[in-house]
Amino acid sequence: MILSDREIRAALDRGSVRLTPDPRQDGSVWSSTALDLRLDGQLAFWNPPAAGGGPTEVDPYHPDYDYSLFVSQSASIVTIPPEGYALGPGTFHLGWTVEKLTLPFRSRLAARVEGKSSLARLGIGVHVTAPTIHAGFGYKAEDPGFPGNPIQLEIWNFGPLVVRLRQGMPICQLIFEEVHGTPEKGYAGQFTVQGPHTP
Amino acid sequence: MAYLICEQISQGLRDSERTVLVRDIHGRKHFLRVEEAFLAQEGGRYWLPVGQICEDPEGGFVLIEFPQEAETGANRIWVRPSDLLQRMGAST
Repeated sequence: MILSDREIRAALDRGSVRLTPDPRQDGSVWSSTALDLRLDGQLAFWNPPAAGGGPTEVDPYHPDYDYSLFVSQSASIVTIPPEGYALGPGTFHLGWTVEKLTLPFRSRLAARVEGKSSLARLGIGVHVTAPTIHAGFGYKAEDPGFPGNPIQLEIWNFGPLVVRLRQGMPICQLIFEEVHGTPEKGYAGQFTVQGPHTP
Repeated sequence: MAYLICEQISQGLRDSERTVLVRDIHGRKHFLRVEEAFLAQEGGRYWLPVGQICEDPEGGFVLIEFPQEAETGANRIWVRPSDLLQRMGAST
């Protein structure tokens, strides 16, 4: 069940979810069932092929896959300038929200990041089929001052236009859903999951 | 709350991030990119906050859940109890 604006506020009040900065004082970011989040100032992208070269191949499920190495060799980062960043047709970038989110394990809430229709109509998507944020995201129990983690966005331009992205612009919306039932997490002493297959 | 030992820490995509390498009981590597401040430090090591699901009564292995899906696709992995650090705090 999707939480209404009032239920999201109640969840913020009781600490079942935390957003930094706290959106409760800013009425303009709310809609009836979602909260708008803003684009932070950096974008990352996978480097295009060198002149005359083919696209870089990645094999993320290979046992020897080294993500750190892949990032160091294949990713670049850019700071969005004051005049905005021109996102060309057919391009893909990673971005982050300004807001940081914490979803405690026991909150019994999940969140979903979705696009804004105004941007979608221009051809801009903000995730690639992976919108769900599970309980535990940004949660550090012993550090109540930890603000949480920003949400990463997979920003792609599927349309024919060059769309200018600006730091602080509303880029996505966050929807909260109640989890039906209690996840296995925290069921200490109840071995409901089969053990691993060991050699 | 449980923390999983990080075998390696490297730069993430942006300055505030780190990429951590953790291993499951089969030795398979899993990478997660998180904010550096999200990690705990103790004993000169970095530790990743994780959810503890259950313990295998036969092998003693522990099933944990990552705070977000790893870059290698995993959400839950089996780890050795010796790779976990338990800290007192709010319930998991």
